[in-house]
Amino acid sequence: MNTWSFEHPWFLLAILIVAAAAWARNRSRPATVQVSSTAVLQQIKPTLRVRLHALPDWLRVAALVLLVVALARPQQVDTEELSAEGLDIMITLDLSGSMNAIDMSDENIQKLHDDGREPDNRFEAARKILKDFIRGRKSDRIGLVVFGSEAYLRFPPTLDYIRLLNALDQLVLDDGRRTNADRMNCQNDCTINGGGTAIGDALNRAWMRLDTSLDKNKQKSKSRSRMLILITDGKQEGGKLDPLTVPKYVAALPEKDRVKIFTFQVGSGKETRLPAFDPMRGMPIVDRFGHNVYQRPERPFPTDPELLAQIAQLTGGKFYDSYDAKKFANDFKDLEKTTFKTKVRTHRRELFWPWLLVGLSLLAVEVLLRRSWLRTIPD
Amino acid sequence: MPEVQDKSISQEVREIEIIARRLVSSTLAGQYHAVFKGRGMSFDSVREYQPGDDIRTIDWNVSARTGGIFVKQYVEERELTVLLVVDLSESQKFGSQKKSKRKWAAEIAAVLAFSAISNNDRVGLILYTDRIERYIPPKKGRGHVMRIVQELLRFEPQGHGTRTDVALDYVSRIARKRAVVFVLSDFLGDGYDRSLGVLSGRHDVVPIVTYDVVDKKWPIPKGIWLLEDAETAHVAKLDANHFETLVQYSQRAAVADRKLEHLIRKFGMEPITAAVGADYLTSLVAYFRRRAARQ
Repeated sequence: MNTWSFEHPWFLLAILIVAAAAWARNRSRPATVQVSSTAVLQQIKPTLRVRLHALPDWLRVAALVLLVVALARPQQVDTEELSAEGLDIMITLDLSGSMNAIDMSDENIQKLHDDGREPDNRFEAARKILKDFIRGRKSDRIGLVVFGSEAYLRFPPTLDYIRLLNALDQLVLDDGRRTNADRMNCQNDCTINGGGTAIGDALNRAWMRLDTSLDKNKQKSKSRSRMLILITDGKQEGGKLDPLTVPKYVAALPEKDRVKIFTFQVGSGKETRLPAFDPMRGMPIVDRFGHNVYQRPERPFPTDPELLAQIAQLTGGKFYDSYDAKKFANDFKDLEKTTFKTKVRTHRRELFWPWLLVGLSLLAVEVLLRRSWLRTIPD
Repeated sequence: MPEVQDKSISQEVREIEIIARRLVSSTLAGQYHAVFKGRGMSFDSVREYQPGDDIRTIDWNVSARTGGIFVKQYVEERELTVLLVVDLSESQKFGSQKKSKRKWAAEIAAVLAFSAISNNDRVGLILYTDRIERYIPPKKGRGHVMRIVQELLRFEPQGHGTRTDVALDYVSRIARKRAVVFVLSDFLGDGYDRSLGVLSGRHDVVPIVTYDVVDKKWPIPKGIWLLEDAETAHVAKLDANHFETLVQYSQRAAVADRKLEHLIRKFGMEPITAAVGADYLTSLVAYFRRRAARQ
């Protein structure tokens, strides 16, 4: 953001004084030399000099206005929003099978199909939003934990966003077609599968990483502000740790060591579709136009927004109910706004110099003209 | 302050008197006398015939009655009325020299008044602006002239403009007998042609055009001059750096001069021009000489 502003806008009122003075001077009769008669003079064609005779007065007014503006100190204020010291952020992303779902009505899917596009499932939406988010960061170290039935540290907190983005790109959602038995085909280097939602484990892994990571000066990450982002679409299922263990532990820490956990419940909306899948051929069902066929899930996915809200509340974070992709994006923007845009650096670039210089030079020109080319008698 | 002013004015009156008397007694008296002789002769008395007298002057009636020979004695009808009509308008106040046109006019008028008085003429004064400001009826005597001079110097006019026609018409109205009318003005106004014609038909009108050199030619000082008309308060600008402008200034002024002179001559008069600070005496004397020669 950059805007114009005046440091001392009140000085601009002096323009009124200048205007009043100019008006008064214009009204008052100039000093003159009396002659017997100007009848003869009226017959003489006015020269350029005579016609420009009032120029110095106008220059004076213009110069004064410019100087007043300079006095008000115009500034260009660049506000740069940044988190000054940089945060350590751990993102925990749900890779369970239900992230495969699409939160969209049939009509909307049809619309996208008409445009020749496939709708984003929850995972793809989250991936896009996270990529945007990461690209928008500058000095925050970001790590990634993915989880399904287990939790897995995909990337420790890093400033190397390019590689982090690569890692994000390489994530593969377990759509149930592959098994970890197949080495060539298993997901995410055969680390996790989508058969569960181990929120507790994920939080733990993320928290441990945050708590032990070192910063540039080999200091513990504790010295930096930290935050945790949890993105999930379901309720705790599988995993070894109760989801509230970590939040409770964090909440009990002294304030400076606490980590806020922001939780996103994705896909709790009513309009939920799953891509139809042909178990015999092991392939998604495609209609004659080549579009995926979506169908309603046989039973609604179990969600646990209360749990997520509790986690957020315990740690001083915030819970977002991101029922569809659009809401999700908005929620993430909100998170960015509240968490990252608090620190604002303003650069004030003084802009009065040009005003001052032009004003002074106009004044100089005016005086010069008055003294030389447009010398008026009586002065 | 007024006292001081009075003093200075009485001093000025004295000075003018001295100047005027000297001029009158030395150069001007004879000339003035020669020019303004009055009209004809009037019978004074009879005296005894003496050898050498023109026999045409013998008064036969008286001679018959008394038995001796008497001749008629005539005197020149000297008693002229001189009217000094002086313009006191604002434009007359202008002066680039030591004196304003008004002072100058006053001085000339004083000289004329003293000349007249030394010729035993009656002198009257009319001061005017855009109206008649003051009228002092013609009288004789040194005291009267002193009053006129004082009035010339001291009078503060009410009006500001110039209506020469009003003054001339006024003179036409009040002066029954043929008079010598000196009109001292810068003749800057307009519309007095007819009045001048009427007046010059009945009286011996001598226009004395007072002017300041600046009225005719812009002096050296350069720059843009803000000039205000003394009477109309109109402000005009003069680019004194511009040669063409200055040339035009002089030309236009000269044109106005020629127009005025043409007008004056049209009615059989001859103008006397009196530039402030210049020697007016010479032009006066020259004028008188020319007139004397014509008669």
